[in-house]
Amino acid sequence: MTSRMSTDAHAHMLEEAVTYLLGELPPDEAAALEAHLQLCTPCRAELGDLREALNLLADGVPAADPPPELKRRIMRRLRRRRPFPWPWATAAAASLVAALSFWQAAVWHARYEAQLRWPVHVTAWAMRGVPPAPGAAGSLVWVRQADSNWVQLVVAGLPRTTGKQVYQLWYILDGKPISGGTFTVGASGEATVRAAVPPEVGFQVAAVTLEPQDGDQAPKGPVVLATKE
Amino acid sequence: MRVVLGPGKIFHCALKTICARQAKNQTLTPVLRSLKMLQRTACLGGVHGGMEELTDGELLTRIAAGEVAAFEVLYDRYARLVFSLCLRLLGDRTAAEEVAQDAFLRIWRHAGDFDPLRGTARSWLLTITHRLAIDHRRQRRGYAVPGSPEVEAAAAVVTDDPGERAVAGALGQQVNRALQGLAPEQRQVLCLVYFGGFTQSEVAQLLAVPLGTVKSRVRLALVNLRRLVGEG
Repeated sequence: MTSRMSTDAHAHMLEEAVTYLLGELPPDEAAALEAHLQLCTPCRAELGDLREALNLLADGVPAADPPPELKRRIMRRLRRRRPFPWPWATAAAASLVAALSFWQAAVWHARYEAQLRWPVHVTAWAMRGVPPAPGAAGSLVWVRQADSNWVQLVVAGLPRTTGKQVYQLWYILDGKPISGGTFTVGASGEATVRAAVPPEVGFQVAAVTLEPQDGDQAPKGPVVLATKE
Repeated sequence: MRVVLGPGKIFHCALKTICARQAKNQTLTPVLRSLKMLQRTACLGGVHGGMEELTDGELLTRIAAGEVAAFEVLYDRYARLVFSLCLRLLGDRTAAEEVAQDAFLRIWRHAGDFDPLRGTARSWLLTITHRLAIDHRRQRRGYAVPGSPEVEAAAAVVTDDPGERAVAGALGQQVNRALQGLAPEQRQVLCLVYFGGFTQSEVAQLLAVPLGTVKSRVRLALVNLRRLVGEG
């Protein structure tokens, strides 16, 4: 992570960490900062420290006991409401992509059922577009079983690649990116990629960057999609 | 987040996850986390006893899976802190009750969003409370006027009454001592921002200093506060 891009991101993070914590950063900048946080363990730690310090202030306020009715009122409301209420579904794109991806995984599963060995471990993430591709969405499904280990990435809404440009998938392992392969995107903005995962790789977070060219072992370009942390 | 599936289950489970995902307008991760939680609860036979010993983070995982009992334990643990903070920020009990209720309902609905990699559960729920209280206050307040009683009250952090108890006991007193130990210009901006709910730009206007100066003072104040509390 020595590229100019990430140095800028560090500097930006240092400058705007407090603004972000106070909820004063515009949504697109907040999303960009969050994307950087996913890739950068030191910045995450730094922000965590600032957040803990800010919340320390709550500990010093004068003590006041809430009235007992408050608890009764809240508990009554809970029983009426499910923890996941019917919402204002605006991330429909991401859902749809996730649905398609699951569908395809299920179809593959049916096709290859005879060859599969159980158990199969499936982990899935929705990926969100961040500037410079705020309208993009994606889903990542990771399938592991006795003799195979692969991911399927479905993306939509990405700007088309030009010249030598490629999109590159990264698994983030202890803050370190490991390449998951590259792909290009045409005018449709969509792509479906299936790639083998090296057996030693286990990851919690993944991101897609737009790289100036293929073959780099470290990300040089901006993050365009990231699993939400 | 890992779900072990049998041959017939994969499609059913995928559909269930998608439905939950669409219903929740969120990433899949918390949903899968909840599924795992449900499995674990099933293994334990749904025993609710001993929840008082669970960590805040463990409680939130259970709350995300819809366990009311876990929520009740978390409420009992934090109601006083949440309410005291609301009262300090809003100044009247009716508004404080209203915002504390909103905060707990939000915690109930969004428990699946809590991510231990990003900070402690305590910090997460205090951030939610603080944001809601400040939003409430901003709606009520309108624009900040320099020298108004509201601005003065926000800047005068620590109560003059030394007999008044801090909500977090010894830690709270330590925090208040540390606040007193900050350079006055750092204490001022931090209190205007945190207790007054003023944005950094508003503070810059109120104090007639550049925005960059306000930002760096808030940051320094936080770094120093943490250090001073650490030193005890």
